[in-house]
Amino acid sequence: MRETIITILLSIVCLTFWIWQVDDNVTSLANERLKNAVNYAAHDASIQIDKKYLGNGRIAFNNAKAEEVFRQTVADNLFLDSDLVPRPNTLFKEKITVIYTDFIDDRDGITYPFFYENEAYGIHHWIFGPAVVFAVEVPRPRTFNVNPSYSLVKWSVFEYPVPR
Amino acid sequence: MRQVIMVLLISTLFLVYMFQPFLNEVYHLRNLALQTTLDRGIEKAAVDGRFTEPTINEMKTTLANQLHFSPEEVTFSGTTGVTPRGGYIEGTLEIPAGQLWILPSIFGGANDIKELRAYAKQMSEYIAR
Repeated sequence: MRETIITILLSIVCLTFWIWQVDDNVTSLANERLKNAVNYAAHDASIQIDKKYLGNGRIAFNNAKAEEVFRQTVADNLFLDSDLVPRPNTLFKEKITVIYTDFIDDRDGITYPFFYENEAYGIHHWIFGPAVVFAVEVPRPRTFNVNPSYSLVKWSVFEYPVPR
Repeated sequence: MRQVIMVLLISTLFLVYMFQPFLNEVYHLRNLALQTTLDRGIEKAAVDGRFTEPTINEMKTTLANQLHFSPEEVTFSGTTGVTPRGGYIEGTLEIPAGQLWILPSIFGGANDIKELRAYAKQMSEYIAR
């Protein structure tokens, strides 16, 4: 009887830690993949410029095209469908939402370097040229239902990559 | 007899509880290292317009050195042809997954994932001159 009780108690303690560890690992991987995907997507969006301004030596983004490309790249990197809903048997379980979009370009009449701030999403970033800003949110993938539920928010500020 | 059964049961559980977390952690860290290495590689590829031989070799050598594989065990597939600005570049990097379960015969080791894989896709910013 004594051995049985000890075994059960030991199992409860060890399994609790193990569940916590596996969940932490999955969240960490999700963080890494989500941040990378948002960076790639913001990079791709920053290439989408309006060519009619380029002739005057100004950089202005094609906002609609940039948003479309952002969603496409996020979807391709995280294996989502066109509505940003994860495909079956992939890391994320719930829909990813683009919660914030901003474009800073030569139409805004600002001088660089410019300190970009957005308190709502904790964005504080120096920019040295025209840039795009995107933020996404997704409920974190939980390994077990007993794990706490919260959302991951990732943002990226990407300057227009000047041709080298 | 009862004592023997208890010892067998407890020692099996003890083995799992003692060593399984380490295998999980190693598996996870390999996965993260793979993601990070491919992330660095695709940043260079975006500038060059493709995954060049030096970029591919650097990724393979980094993983081989850090995770103690031979470079032949690290496999890469992806865009190696020059892609103009605005075209998509993609890359997949794979390494052997290693052992995930301390007692694979009990926890379904035959169904284990054999390779860890990272995938990335980004547009090229290369302009041909």
